[in-house]
Amino acid sequence: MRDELVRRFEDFGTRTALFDRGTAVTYAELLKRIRDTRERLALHGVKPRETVVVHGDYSTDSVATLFALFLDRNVVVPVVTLTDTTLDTLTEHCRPSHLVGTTEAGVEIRDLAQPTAASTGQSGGAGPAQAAAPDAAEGAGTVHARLGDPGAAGLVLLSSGSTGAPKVILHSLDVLVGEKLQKRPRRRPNALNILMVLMFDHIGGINSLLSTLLVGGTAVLPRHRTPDEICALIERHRILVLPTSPTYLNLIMVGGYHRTYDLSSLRLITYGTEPMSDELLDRVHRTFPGVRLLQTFGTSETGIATTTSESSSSTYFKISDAGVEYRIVDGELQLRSRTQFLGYLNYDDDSLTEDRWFRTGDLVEEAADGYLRIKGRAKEVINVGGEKLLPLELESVLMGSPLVEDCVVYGRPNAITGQAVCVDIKPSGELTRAALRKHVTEFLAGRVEPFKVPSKINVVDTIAMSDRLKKLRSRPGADEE
Amino acid sequence: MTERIQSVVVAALDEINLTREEKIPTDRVLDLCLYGDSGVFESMYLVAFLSLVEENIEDEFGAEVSLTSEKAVSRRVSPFSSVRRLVGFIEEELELVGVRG
Repeated sequence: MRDELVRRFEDFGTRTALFDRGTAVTYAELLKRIRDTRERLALHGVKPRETVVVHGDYSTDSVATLFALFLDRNVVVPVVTLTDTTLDTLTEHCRPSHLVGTTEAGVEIRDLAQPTAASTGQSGGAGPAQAAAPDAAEGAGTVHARLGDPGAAGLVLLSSGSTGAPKVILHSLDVLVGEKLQKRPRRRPNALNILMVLMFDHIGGINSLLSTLLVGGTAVLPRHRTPDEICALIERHRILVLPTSPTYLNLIMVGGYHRTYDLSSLRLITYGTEPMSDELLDRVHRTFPGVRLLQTFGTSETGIATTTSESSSSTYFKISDAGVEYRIVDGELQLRSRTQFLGYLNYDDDSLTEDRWFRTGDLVEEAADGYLRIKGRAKEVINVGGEKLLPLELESVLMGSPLVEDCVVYGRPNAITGQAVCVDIKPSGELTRAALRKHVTEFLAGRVEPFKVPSKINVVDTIAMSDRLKKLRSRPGADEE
Repeated sequence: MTERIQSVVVAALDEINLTREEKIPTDRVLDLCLYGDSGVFESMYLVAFLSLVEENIEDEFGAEVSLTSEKAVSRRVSPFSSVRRLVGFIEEELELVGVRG
């Protein structure tokens, strides 16, 4: 497999692999960078099967380091934002031997087992690393051993859970790469030109990167993920494929960036990470009439499944992936996939059923012809005195109002009805809370059942979005998991 | 302060009345029972009404109080048994957070 990957990169040769800060990097150059990185890693004492944290967002260096560690059969932990808490969690459960920092200043390799002056400096987070130093080698072996294949490389992802410590999810990187190597290389250069909107430490981001590079496509690496910059990059690089999320697409349209920039190169927009409402999809479809719209589906635990949308204007989709089985139990989607994770390193595998199906936590409905539609997250159900509501349902209706630019619906506990429906609204234009409340009450009358009318409405300047491009639904005082 | 709170509550009732077909009588408003056997609200609407009062109290006094808390519902004499009791409860809660008349 490793030979096959290197051979492909050699064959792709002068094709552009990456656009990194506007500079084209060919496959030959990337391969050279991978080889140099392997040498540097060896010089710094990084041994096969050790766990290595790669800190940074997409860059030629971070991508080269990912592949170098894959070739050397390490366990790779990509982390875009490395906080002390994250490093504590990783130190405790992964015992990384090294930390590779990939910043604009270049690559810095730190030995976490033998802290140096540099590692105790201002970068923070050195404390926990030092504390774990004596066990680093042994701990790294343990994580690799869980792969069950001494010749494989591992990938550790952190879940973006809203509460508690993130879940530390172990994958076999060999399995993920192996899946992508089954696809034949593209014959024409530039046939696949994709913008890396999803993050480097996100299953969707890793999936996009591997899908693109292993078949000879071009990955354009953004520095920031503002709608302005993303749309500028689409225009500049004639991007064909934009993997994104519903919230993000709304930001592009509301900001009018599709008018500011020429986005006519787009052929495919994929959306995932959170459910799409019919109202928003309809607007996207009207705004980008010639573009195919595809619902993607995946989880950090099972990988990304190949999907087919019923049509560009439909939120119904099929999981059409030979490597993924699905079933629906009590309304919840359960998956079993070839690219399934090997376990959590810090939690019990309670999200797996006894027969090893993964409970996604997503509530879905299935149409007669096998098409699925995501209704929302099971944990986001709002229960108002026994009557139940999913936020997306109400958000979708509210987004139909000309006065609502974006909104987020959530439950807030109270001692009378258990939960009450609350909504934060970013209005289009200036509106007071009283005026907005009056409008919302009138707008919803007759459109939804009375218990779904929010009892509390807040006017906000922005609807917060996580770095996974999802709407943040967790509010102070709101029900937690 | 009691009067200020009272006018906030009445203003909330007036606002609710704008969108209700069956108007809530506000002539003897202090004795109006909000929730219970002879209450004017079902539980869901009570929560919406109380949220509105909370909001208006915040605007008027610059302080947040919770009217749907465990404390409010577990009182031996319910603050929702009359507008007078609700006003009294709000006054106590405001005093707790340092707002005095």
